[in-house]
Amino acid sequence: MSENKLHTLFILSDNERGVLARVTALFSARGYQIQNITAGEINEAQHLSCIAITTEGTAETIAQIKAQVEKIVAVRSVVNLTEAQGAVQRELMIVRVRRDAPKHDALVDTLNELDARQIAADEESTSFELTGDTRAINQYIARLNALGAVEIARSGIVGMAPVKLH
Amino acid sequence: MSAPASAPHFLSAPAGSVLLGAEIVVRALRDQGVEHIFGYPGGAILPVYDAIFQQDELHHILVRHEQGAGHAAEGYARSTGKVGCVLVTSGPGMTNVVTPMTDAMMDAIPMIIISGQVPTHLIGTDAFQEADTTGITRNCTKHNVLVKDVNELAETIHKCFHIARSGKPGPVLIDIPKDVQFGKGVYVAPDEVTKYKTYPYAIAASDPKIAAAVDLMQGAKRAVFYTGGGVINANAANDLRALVHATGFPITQTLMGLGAFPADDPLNLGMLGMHGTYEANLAMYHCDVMICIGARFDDRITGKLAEFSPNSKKIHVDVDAASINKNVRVDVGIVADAGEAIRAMLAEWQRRNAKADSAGLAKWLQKIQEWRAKDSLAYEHSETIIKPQYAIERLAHFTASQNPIISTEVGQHQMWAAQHFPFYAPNRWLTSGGLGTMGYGLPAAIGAQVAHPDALVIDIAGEASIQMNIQELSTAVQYNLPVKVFIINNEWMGMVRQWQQLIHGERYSHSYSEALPDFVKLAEAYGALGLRATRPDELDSVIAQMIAHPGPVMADIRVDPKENCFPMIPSGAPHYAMILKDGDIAPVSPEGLMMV
Ligand SMILES: Cc1cc2nc3c(=O)[nH]c(=O)nc-3n(C[C@H](O)[C@H](O)[C@H](O)COP(=O)(O)OP(=O)(O)OC[C@H]3O[C@@H](n4cnc5c(N)ncnc54)[C@H](O)[C@@H]3O)c2cc1C
Ligand SMILES: Cc1ncc(C[n+]2csc(CCOP(=O)(O)OP(=O)(O)O)c2C)c(N)n1
Repeated sequence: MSENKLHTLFILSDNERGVLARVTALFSARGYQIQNITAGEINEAQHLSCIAITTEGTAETIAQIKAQVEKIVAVRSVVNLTEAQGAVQRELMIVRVRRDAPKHDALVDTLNELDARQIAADEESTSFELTGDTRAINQYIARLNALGAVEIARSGIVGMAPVKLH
Repeated sequence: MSAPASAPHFLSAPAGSVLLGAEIVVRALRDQGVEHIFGYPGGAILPVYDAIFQQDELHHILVRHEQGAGHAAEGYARSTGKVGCVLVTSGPGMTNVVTPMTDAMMDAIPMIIISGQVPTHLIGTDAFQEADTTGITRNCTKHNVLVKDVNELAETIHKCFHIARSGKPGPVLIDIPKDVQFGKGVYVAPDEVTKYKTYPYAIAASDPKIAAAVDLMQGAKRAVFYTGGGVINANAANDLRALVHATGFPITQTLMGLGAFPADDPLNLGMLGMHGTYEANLAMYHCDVMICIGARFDDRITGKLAEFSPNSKKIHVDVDAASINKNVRVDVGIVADAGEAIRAMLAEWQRRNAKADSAGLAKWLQKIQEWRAKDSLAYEHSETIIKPQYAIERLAHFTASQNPIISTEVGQHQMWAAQHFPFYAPNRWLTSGGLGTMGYGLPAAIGAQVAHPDALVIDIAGEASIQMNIQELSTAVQYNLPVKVFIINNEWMGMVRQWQQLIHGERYSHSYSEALPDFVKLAEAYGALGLRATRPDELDSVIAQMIAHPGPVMADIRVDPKENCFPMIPSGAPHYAMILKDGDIAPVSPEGLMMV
């Protein structure tokens, strides 16, 4: 048995009612964990959606999960992004800094240093967006939280399989 | 709501015609080749019942409880190889079919369930008899859909039939709001639907995996075939027989696979697993090559996984990729239809002019003969009390010439039927294996009898199980379906009592069937024939009367209340730790205690 590790599965599916529910129901019914999940329509004309799920398991468990998900009628393909050479994965995070935050200036300096993009501002706060792979996002979060009061939201993984696997 | 006189009837209107949603349902079923549907009406499905009323090609069988409809459809499907169909109303009608759907999901039975739903504009309002049908049935169907647009109805139904019968078969539910049944839409014929989910099916004899499998088989000294329900699904019993005889290897079948190989063939070791024969289980333990075809390494087969067939190379043929390496890691996994794979293996075996290692095989068959000599299905005979095994043997004896279809309920009687009733052909054995649903047998028998009006159909039942769907006797009487219910009445939930005796210190908690009805009077109350045998010398004549009677019969066979079902591998124990008779020690490990 190989070791437990995180894998992200990229699921291309028909954009039918209940697909997401079927995928998550399968995970809970078979006792698999969902670390994070993102989903959205990607081609309205072709009724296509994509779902990315991160889960933990041995290579054997992940192969079993992949085979189970592929059985779902609306699912067209499943690619393990973690194993697929050339796959890309990103997360988006949004950071809001209040003007009265004790370390306001340090926070903004850090965000600028990280190439965060300002996306909104009002009298009370400024909001930034940042993207990166999960490891980078985890580092950003650690750095920002170390500077105290800051609000953070993150998207979960959005990914794409390499061309040859489509 | 009658159509204008000039409009053709909805069953003969050309494809492309505009029909009512309810008419589309009946038309689509007819065009899918459905002749019988089992159901129960209610408010949300009345338009479909109205359409059924106005035609006579699709025959509706009215059950007494929707669970009965579901199991009847399963029995119909298993005995014919066709898709079984169910029609129910929203809310409680649908929830009553949850058990049969789960059952069909487990046992890979193709089934279509059509449920009425509250009108679209009321969905989500807690309307009368509203239930979240797709939500509730998501985990017990292979696929389910809520159809909100009448113009998608025909295509959806055709696709659902394809899904139900292809790949690993299973139940598919179509939920249809009442306004969609009343709406008008275009009917499309099955052949106009082009976009289907594809499932693995074929495999070429030249495929490297077939070569790898045949390599293993050629090198084997102690090979065994282990086959299951997938061979029945694939309609591949004849191919299996050819492959087994070409190789000369012995074969064992799962509970679900019985009938795929003739019981009296010398190579047949009978059933394996928890209540399988000594020779089958020891062959599994000691083999060097295992050829698993259309079976799924269920925990009632493997026993203790860590000690499951420790020294064998394993080949696994399954149409479901997720079945391979799920419970047991195999050396050669072949994702294909069982029939296709068997034919490919046989073709490759013949092309190579292959021969089994004859010295090895002879020694192996000799060993098996020694195990067989234990006669693990033997039981103590009695002159004074009917032994349940004896009752089943006599039933088999008197019905042999009629090639009967046998269904069962769940419990000891089910296992005794599997052990003592010989099957020579597929599709004659209907039993709930994966879910183990008490109450399955009578409706399943009814479903089979509907499909085979001239066949002798017998439900081998327990007195506890039969009470779970006994109301279906009324269905049998209404449609003059001459099913025979053969109750192995031991006054106990025998299988539960056996576990309590062996594993729970003889504390018989709530397993005695108190206040049993008088089954003879009960049969009569329903308008069926009731019979009873209490002594061994009464048995033969009761069986003869039962078979001779042209209508439904319920026979109450009073058997030894304390008989146990052996052999038995206690849950979670390895294959060699088999209990053969009362008094043998039951070595139950802490892990085994957790198993069911
Ligand atoms: C009280 C009780 C006791 C039991 N004791 C035993 C016992 O002692 N021994 C025993 O065997 N069982 C026993 N069972 C039944 C057991 O629980 C399982 O239901 C059974 O073993 C499963 O049979 P199977 O492996 O043939 O799989 P099935 O459930 O029949 O599944 C068929 C397999 O074949 C595949 N398949 C389907 N169609 C095809 C196709 N066309 N081509 C290729 N593959 C296909 C499916 O994907 C699946 O993997 C017992 C049940 C009860 C209720
Ligand atoms: C619906 C359902 N409830 C409970 C069980 C658990 N169970 C398995 S066998 C059994 C006893 C069956 O008794 P009976 O029908 O008399 O058969 P016997 O074992 O005596 O032959 C029970 C309660 C089950 N399998 N199905």
